[in-house]
Amino acid sequence: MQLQSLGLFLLGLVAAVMIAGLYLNVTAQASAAGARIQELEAEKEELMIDIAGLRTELGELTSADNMRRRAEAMGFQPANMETAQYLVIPDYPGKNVVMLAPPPVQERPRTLILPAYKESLWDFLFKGALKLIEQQGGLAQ
Amino acid sequence: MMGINRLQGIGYLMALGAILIVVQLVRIQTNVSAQKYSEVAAQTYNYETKVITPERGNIYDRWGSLLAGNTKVYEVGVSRNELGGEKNRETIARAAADILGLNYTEVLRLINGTYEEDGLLYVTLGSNFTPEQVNQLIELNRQYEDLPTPPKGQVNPSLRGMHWVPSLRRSYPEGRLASNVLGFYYYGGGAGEQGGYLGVEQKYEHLLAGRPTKVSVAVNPNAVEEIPDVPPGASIVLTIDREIQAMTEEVLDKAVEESGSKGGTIIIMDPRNGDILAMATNPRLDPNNYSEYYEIFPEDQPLNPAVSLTYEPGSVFKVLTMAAAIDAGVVTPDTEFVDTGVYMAGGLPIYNWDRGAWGPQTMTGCMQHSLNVCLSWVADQLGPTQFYEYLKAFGIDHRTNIDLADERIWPLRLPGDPYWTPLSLATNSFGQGLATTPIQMITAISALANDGKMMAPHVMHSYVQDGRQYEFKSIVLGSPVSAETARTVTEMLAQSLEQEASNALVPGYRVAGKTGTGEIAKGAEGYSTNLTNASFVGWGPVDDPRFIVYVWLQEPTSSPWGSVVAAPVFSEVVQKLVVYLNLPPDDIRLQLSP
Repeated sequence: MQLQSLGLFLLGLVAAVMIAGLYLNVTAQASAAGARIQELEAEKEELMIDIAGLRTELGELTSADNMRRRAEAMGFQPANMETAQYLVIPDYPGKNVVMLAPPPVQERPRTLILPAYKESLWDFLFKGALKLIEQQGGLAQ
Repeated sequence: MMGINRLQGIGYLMALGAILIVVQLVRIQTNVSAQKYSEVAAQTYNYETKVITPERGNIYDRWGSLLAGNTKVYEVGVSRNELGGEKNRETIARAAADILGLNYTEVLRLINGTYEEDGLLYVTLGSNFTPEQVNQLIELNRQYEDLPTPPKGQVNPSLRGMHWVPSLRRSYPEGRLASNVLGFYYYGGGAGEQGGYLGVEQKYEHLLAGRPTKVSVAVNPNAVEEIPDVPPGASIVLTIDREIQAMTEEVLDKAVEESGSKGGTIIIMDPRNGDILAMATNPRLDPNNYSEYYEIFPEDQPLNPAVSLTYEPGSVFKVLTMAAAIDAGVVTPDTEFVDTGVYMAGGLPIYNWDRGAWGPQTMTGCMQHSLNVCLSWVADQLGPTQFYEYLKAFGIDHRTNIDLADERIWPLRLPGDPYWTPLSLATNSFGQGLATTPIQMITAISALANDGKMMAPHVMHSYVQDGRQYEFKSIVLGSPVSAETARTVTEMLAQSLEQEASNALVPGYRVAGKTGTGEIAKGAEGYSTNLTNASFVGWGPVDDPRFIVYVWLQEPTSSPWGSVVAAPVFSEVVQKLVVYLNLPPDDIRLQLSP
């Protein structure tokens, strides 16, 4: 009898330890994932700062002044009116102003999820009741 | 009955203890106050409120060259409650002095302060340190950490408590280039005291700045949630062409120096759509170092005189008077006028620039020789009502509303206004007694280069927001004169340049234009006897204008005349401009035209 009680107690204890262990494991994993997300968020923020900084650095390296100096160092000279030669390129529309992103598009209504799928039971019943009333000629006589 | 032995007693006591702990745990978890405190603690320690300031939008020229961006800088500070002893503090102060260029004593005083004295646990040492400086700090910190453990009673030097946090700062990679157009980003002392100042930076602050968003960020990893994406501010693509801007600034700087001028402005515009291709001014500011502002622009001088400084334009204004008279049918290019050298207006005499009498002249001759007497007569033929109606149609009485901050105007005096006299009609006809900005002048005259249609001048071509590029649509401000008038005046001005073999002529390209030499009013003392404003406005090619250029040199000392100092500047600019615009000489272009 005593052995049976002890066995039951131990079984309960093992079950509790298992649940606690499982809980601890999941919580630890969630915490680790949370900490990693925090790290990644910080990294993302720093990367965005780095990207902006590098873009500006590139802008400095390719500034009008720098490009002119580099071109001159490579033996180029600015084109001038006397030496410029003009070639006709059929159908060439000319240089266009830079497009950094696509132009705006007409937003079309999203039809992926039909309204019926987003209706609550209450909406469905209410709409059904209204429809029925309309069919019978309205509320007032 | 079985007695309870000692071991069982201990077992029961421990079990009871465990049950009591569980009961207490449940009680704490379910107690109303406990729940409230738990929520407060969670809110206080699990989350922190943070304002995410989006990255400020970039500014590009029309081909995508970066004119204004953001660069990485670091804020360096010290967390007082992390500091160790004296050696730690002295090491930080020494590093701050040697690497960051700060004052050793001042840094030591700051970090030795207490919360009770100044209410600070974290003191900021500075906020604009370069990544190179911070890399040196990181390297120094690593060296200190690698030191062997010191003997008992001694401590190693350390930077413990010193922190560096990256952030973005506005940066202008082209330096002074187009700084009058861009304006600058001002970092004020307090909250709300920073933002775009003047130029595009101020005008489009609402687009560039984006929307700062307050978010609750989880500190506790168990409560972590996704931080919402805060989109960056919109980026702006200007109509400015960086290469043309650089060329124009170079020509202007040289012209200002050679003519001994106080300053200068050149605007290049596409008359077909109002695109400003270049807007050069002298002097200019490096927006990366805007603290020099008051040294460069003393006595309320504006950053961008092209839009913010009014002046009496002088004879370039005759273009508008003549266009109005021809459009109204009062004169034709061949109408004759006998110039006797003086014209009485409101009881006072009007003289020519040389005080000479030029005898019989056609209207083209009047423009070619820039005769004040003739233009006063022309204005009289129009009459004040028509004359001022035309000026209003040309926009001389209001702002052009160019998309740059701080556009100013000088009110146009009209008949019936105080200080308007019949003499005003005569003097206004040749650009004296009224004041305009260069942008008003080029906008008005651009109508003659675009078949009578006056386009709204603008510097923004498009902006990029939320992954889409939105284009600015050209706006027609009005049609002050007919297409026929525009072509007639253009032809008259082309002929007048050719007949006088003007310094403004451009080999291979037919251009129309007009010089201007405006006298400068000196308050109650009347007009200056030796200082002038020299201007030139011109456009071309005459048969299909693609550009209009406005030149203004302030108070040149080498010569007071627009024809001597401003006209050659126009010619030099156009000779270079046509190469950038891929515009072949007229004979080649006309052969190529279908």
